[in-house]
Amino acid sequence: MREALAALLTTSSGFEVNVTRMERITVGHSRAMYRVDCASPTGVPVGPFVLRMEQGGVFGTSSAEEFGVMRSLASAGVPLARVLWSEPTGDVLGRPFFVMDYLQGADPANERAMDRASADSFIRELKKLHELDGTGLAIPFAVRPASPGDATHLQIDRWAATYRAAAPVCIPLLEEAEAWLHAFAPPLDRLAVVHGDAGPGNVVMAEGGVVAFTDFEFTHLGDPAEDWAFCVTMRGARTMTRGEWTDLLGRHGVVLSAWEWTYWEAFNLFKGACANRTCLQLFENGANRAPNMAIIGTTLHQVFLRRLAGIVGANPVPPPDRSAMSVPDRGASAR
Amino acid sequence: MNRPAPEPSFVTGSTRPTDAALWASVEATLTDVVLPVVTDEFARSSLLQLVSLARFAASRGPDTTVARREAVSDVLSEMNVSVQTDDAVAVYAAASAVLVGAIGSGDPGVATRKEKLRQLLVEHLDADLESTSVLMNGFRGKLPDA
Repeated sequence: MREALAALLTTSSGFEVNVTRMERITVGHSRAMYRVDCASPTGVPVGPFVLRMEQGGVFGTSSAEEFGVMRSLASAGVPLARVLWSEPTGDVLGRPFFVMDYLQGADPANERAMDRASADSFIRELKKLHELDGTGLAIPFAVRPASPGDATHLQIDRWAATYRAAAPVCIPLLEEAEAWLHAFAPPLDRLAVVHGDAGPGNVVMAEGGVVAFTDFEFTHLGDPAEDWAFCVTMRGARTMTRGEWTDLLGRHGVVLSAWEWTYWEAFNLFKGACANRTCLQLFENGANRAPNMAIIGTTLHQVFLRRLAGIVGANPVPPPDRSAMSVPDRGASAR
Repeated sequence: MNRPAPEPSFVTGSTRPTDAALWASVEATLTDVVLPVVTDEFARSSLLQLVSLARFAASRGPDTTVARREAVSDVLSEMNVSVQTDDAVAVYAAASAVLVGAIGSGDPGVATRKEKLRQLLVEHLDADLESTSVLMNGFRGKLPDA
């Protein structure tokens, strides 16, 4: 593995390098992450780098798309690790991967830990990402809505197709949720760049500030409310209370109505349940025998689906005037 | 002195160790022998997940796939939805159509009719969750009983 990687890095960089150390980093499930240290033939250190490798089709995402998205976003000033080389064929190491800079940052014992100052910085930077001209940047997204109104529906279709490709029979509660999400999708008047997996653990922090966002495999064009709801109700739920998050968001002018919180929580649960189902297929067909695949494909999928079924089963009713759903409603956003 | 209960294989005279005994051995060996000497962070994390898999394999009980499919098919029959009971694809496609058809229908009768089916599907999901919840500690880097 080291020799094959060294050969690729030598060809890609134009400088002869040897891989002196390659160590798996204990983060992530959809991608294997390795710290890679290199040196020139005379022993001069080169790197370190991070190698981010696909894991047999986990979550149905593509490292080639992620590489292209990251490169475009970097050129737009988004804080992230500089991506260097992509190997999309799988011929070199058995699976597609790309290489990026290794970032030094805070390494908290609990990756979901984030103090209030850091959370404040995180919100500010994520809001900047959302404010980018999503259509003007020519970011190479695989899914490109023709209009803002199509964006959420296309994402629902994307995740439904991902789950259906991985499951031998349809899952009625997931099918019901898909129909519910299509029926009640909030209107959208502008396509934003949505990170898709935003929150504590997917951002490198140092001295209270954002060094870089990480994990762009779910990034797409859509509604920023998806990111905020995901952070508050899922990824960041163990970091701060919902009240603390919404208070902080409100200080940045980010306010979702009660209905938007409900809808986007359901959307993210749907997306998670669909994506997680791919892991069981890979575990069973041998594409990925790692034990976390069985865990994500069963209990995590089921946890998301159960929460989702609870929301849909409660028959929440959207506001009568759905064009008014984006009107700030600070009081209603607290649970 | 209390003697441990005999293994089922001892009782039946089988020369095969039971699945429960095999999985218990896997879990005990991984936990007591391998885990203490594994220091690599990623290997340790994977090992804890594997321990939870061993516990799950030992505790998950019999496969209820067929019984569940038949139960769903029975409820569909009560709703005058006819499907081939042994065709899983058809049964779950029909069940999905019932739930999807009730979304935004505005007909209270439709919503009421689907409720028994939905309740059954949620019960199945809850039973799955009860069975797989033992995996969650492994996912969080803990032993099953931590």
